[in-house]
Amino acid sequence: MNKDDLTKKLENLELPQVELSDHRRRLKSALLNSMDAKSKFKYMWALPHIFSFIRKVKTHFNLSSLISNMEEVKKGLSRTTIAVLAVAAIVLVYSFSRTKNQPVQQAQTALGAQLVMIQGVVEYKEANGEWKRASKDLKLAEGSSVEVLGVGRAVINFDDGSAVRLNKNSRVTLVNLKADSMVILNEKGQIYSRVVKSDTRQFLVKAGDVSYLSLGTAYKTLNDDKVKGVEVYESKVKILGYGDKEILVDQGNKYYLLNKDNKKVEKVITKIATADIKKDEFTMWNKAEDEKEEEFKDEMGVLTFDDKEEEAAVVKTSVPASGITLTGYATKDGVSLNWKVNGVDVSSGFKLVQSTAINPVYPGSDYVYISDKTARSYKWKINDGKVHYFRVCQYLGGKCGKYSNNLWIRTVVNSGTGTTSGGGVTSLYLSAGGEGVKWAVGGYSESGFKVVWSVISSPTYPARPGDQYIYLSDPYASTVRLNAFAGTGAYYVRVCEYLGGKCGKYSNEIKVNLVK
Amino acid sequence: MQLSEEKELIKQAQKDPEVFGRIFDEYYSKIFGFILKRTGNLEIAQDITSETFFKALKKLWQFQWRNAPFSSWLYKIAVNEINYFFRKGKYKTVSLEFLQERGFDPTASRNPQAELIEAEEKLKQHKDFLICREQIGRLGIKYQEVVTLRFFEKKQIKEISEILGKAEGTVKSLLHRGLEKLCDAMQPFGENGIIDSERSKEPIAKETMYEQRRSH
Repeated sequence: MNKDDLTKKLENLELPQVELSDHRRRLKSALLNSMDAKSKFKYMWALPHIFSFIRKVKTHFNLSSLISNMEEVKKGLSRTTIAVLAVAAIVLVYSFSRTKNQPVQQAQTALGAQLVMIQGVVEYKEANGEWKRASKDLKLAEGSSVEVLGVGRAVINFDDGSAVRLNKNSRVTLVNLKADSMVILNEKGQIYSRVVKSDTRQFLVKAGDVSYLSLGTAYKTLNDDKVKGVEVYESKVKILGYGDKEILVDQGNKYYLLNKDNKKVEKVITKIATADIKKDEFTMWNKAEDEKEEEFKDEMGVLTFDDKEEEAAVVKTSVPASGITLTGYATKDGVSLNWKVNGVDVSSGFKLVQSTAINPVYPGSDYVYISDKTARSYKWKINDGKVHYFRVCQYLGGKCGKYSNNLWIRTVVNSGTGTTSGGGVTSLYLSAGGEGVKWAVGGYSESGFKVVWSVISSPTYPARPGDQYIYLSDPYASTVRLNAFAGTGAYYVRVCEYLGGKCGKYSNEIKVNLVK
Repeated sequence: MQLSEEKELIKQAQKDPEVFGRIFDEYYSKIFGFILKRTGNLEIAQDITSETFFKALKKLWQFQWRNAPFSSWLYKIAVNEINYFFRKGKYKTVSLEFLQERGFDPTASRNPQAELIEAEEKLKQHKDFLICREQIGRLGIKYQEVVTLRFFEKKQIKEISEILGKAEGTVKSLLHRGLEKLCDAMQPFGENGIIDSERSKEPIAKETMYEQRRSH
């Protein structure tokens, strides 16, 4: 082939048009989210102009030094000096006035808000902006919205110490963050508001056509298809905009404007039963969060109750006569669970479920799947020092059949090193399944999983030479197909909790045969 | 996009990073395509593309118009990143670590393999391109740069000289010599791309060693 033929061939070469849309989407999102130091960036555009100005000034001085006539130098210098000083003075005065005025204006106009905790997939958008994946410590401006997509939670803290906590499938918009008037729009789902007491500020949560007004209290607003209303746990809340009347709901009471499940508890002030609070995982979590706060722990209202008495009763009363019986105890390595099965078909295995609220269920609560029908024990690595409720159920493929008794256990805090992963995963169980591998997770892996496999035992991430990995960003991913990258044969596989650049907890290792 | 429109967009993006998203949308395909054609490896192309855009975002405030389209500046960053990759063999991506800490993984996907497998299949269909690319990959980097920009990216000599920061005469000369070398390299391949097994055993250039390293 001569050069002309080659040129022609290259010019007419059909080129591949390959696009990785997923990579494109994620990279864009990561790039835009990486601009945390937005304010720094904002003024960088001015730097080239400043540098250019400095260069010009330097050039002028150099030229001036070459001039032999000192009088001219003096004139030149004085002209330059005056010009430079004048410009510098204007810039300084302008900057000073801006820096001096800005904080005062901000203090008078808007309170700061920050996303201090996220669990699951949480997105946010600025006023008139697009939805983006939210990250912890994100600063939120007036007009911003935050949404928890699916199972997860989010906490927004305000400069005055108040907090708004979002349950799963919930969305809020920070309509107004004025120091004397805060307005939060509960667009959907459940929002728990913990409001710092103030005589000069009104805190309003709007949901649908009504508003819930408080001056300092703890309450939950509900706004979904089945239930719309408010539950007040501490102090009082005034319902505005509902007809002509204002309804005052005192602590320990709820008022549902809509309740499709129970019409008797609709449009009437009803007492909140402590048992109902205990069943409500979101409220119990808020209770625990408030108890951690110095400012709120003595203002718990109806959330002041002792867990222990009720828990003891649970153990005494909820053991079933037949079916599945669960027993267990806490150790420094986690919770050791054992169960007995009597007359229940467990051919599809078990689901172990746990929660900090009574009656954990599958789907819904944290779970571990055990496919082995002969299994009768499991060690769940939970070491947070809190009370957890456990149940084991007969697995029927996608749902649970018979449940065991509730077992409550206060877990032991593990202060040792090396046993905790640093993430939210307490256990990972890997097994071969279908054309790949599948796993069950205890806890929650916010950043998803890395599946690592190799022909050499104990594959890791970051990968050793010869290890292969796949990243699944979905915290709910549970299965993946693997390729035989080193040819047909046996491969060792593990899955791990991804902690951004490294792995936390690893699963058991399994050996699978992969075909090229 | 019109040049005036592009200028306005860059000007806005220099003041507001949110606007960078539009620049990214405009140029992602071109830059990713260029890097893929140079490296021939989807995973490496993803890494280098990420690095290129991260650096572009970081350095955007320094960008100044010099009678060349904005894309030349992006290509320049991409060329530097590719060269850095070839030189080091092992690509150390500082920005990738930074992005990974924020939950981004270059090989991640909800269905991680499907898209890559599909893309690889697509690549495999372009047999002629793969043969040419492989042979171009055996040339020295300075020849690879000009040949790929000229024939894969369809860039004119003037733009290539802007991207590479070389005089137009130098680019022409490199192109001429690069094509000559490529002619020799392509001799074992007939019109239908059949490989002469003896010629194909010739030692490969140092800079293509990464392909072997990655296969282990």
